[in-house]
Amino acid sequence: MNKSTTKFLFIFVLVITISIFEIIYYGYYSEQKSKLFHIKRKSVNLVQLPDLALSTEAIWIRHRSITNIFSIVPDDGNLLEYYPSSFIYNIHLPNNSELQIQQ
Amino acid sequence: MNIKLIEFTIKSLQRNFVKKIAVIFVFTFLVFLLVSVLSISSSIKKVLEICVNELPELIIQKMSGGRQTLIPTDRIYDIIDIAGISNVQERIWGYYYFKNENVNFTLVGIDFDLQYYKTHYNDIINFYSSKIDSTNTAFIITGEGINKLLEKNFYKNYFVFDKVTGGKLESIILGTFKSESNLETNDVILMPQNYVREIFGISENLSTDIVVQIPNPSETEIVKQKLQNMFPDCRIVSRNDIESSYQNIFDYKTGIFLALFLTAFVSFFILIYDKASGLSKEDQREIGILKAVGWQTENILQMKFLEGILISIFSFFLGTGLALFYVFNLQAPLLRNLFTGVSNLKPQFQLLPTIDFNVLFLIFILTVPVYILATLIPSWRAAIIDADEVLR
Repeated sequence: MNKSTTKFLFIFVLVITISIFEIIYYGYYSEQKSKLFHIKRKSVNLVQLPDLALSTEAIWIRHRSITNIFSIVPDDGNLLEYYPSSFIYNIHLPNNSELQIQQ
Repeated sequence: MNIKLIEFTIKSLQRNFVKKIAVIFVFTFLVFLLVSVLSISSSIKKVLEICVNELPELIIQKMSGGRQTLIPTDRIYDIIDIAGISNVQERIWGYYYFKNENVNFTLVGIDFDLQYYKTHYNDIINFYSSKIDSTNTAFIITGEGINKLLEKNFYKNYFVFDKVTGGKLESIILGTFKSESNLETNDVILMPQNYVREIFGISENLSTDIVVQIPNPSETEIVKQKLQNMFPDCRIVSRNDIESSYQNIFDYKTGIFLALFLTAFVSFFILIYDKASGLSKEDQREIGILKAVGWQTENILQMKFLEGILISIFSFFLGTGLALFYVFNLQAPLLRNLFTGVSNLKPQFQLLPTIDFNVLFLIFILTVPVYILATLIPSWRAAIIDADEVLR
């Protein structure tokens, strides 16, 4: 085997070894020893609310204990269902008079 | 398979490296995207699965006209008599609208004795002060996101609530949740229950909802049914319902992204089809020459098989390795936004390393064997023709 072939093989084996090491390391990452998991568990235990801050289309609220199972859009007593246009709150957009003052 | 054949295959790859680099790039990029998205999804899912076990088994909500209303607290006495229930508790919580920032805080009333609370939960809270007269002073414990928002609005160590009945309620910020729990507590404010009642104007005989603890999980559905019969005006949300809800959302989110992936898959398979439909003139001449110098059909197939394996395995592992580094070390910039809502109080969270081996195996099966087959079939077609015919 000449130099370039050896180099090629070395790179090939190195990439595969690093990836396999990564897969094994992350795959068997010990959640039991993780301080992070402990804090998360305790926080939920204390607050006692389902968290859906992620993955919902939550614009105003996070905890989805007041929607049904198949609802994607959030539900809130203050909102008419479906989209930001139906919020009863004013969104702070500068009105004409404010714009005139700025000018 | 001898070492000389491997050496020859590597040299052949080196000779045609520029031609192969496009295939390696597309292959790696496709695997990278697939593994990244599915890793983000499974990481978030795992955290939620772990946390969902800490939630109460059943939540009872009184409904009126499709909306949740306050529930009479004395229903607790009827509920506690049901067999299989170990604990029933009223909850006072709701959303407090903070108009300066256009956000809702989740205000949760906790009926706790401060000393017990501090010994039991002090490892998840950074306390600013341990000396506070909890009976006479309103205090709050906030999520990190809220704390930053309040500081931005010049509320340094205190916050003033507007009561629904009119008037103000000043409260001292006693501490904040640790940043590790941002995902769960970013928009949460904990406060003694009596003050939350005062802010929301909820009388003593009403509460937001009632939570029920059931030690034996197999009894949950039976108890749920009993409660439903007992209180027809209520909606009973079980932990299973919440889990199903999570699953639906993740399926929906991942589905949207995977639909976009179809284009990437189509381009990959076009590439494969192009390879499978025939060899280039150069490749055919190479096979012809090899046959002319005495190579057998099986030797040529072995060489092409080895070439396919080297390219596909290398690309698969390179894509997977890069994806895992990108997701768990760099915390998936850009892609993670796909899974977050659009709340003004979007939490900063850490993606925890988890790998779904089934998904990895599926991606492997979908890409590597397909590529190897796509290189073998045309090579076999060319290898079975006589050498002089190929060369001519």
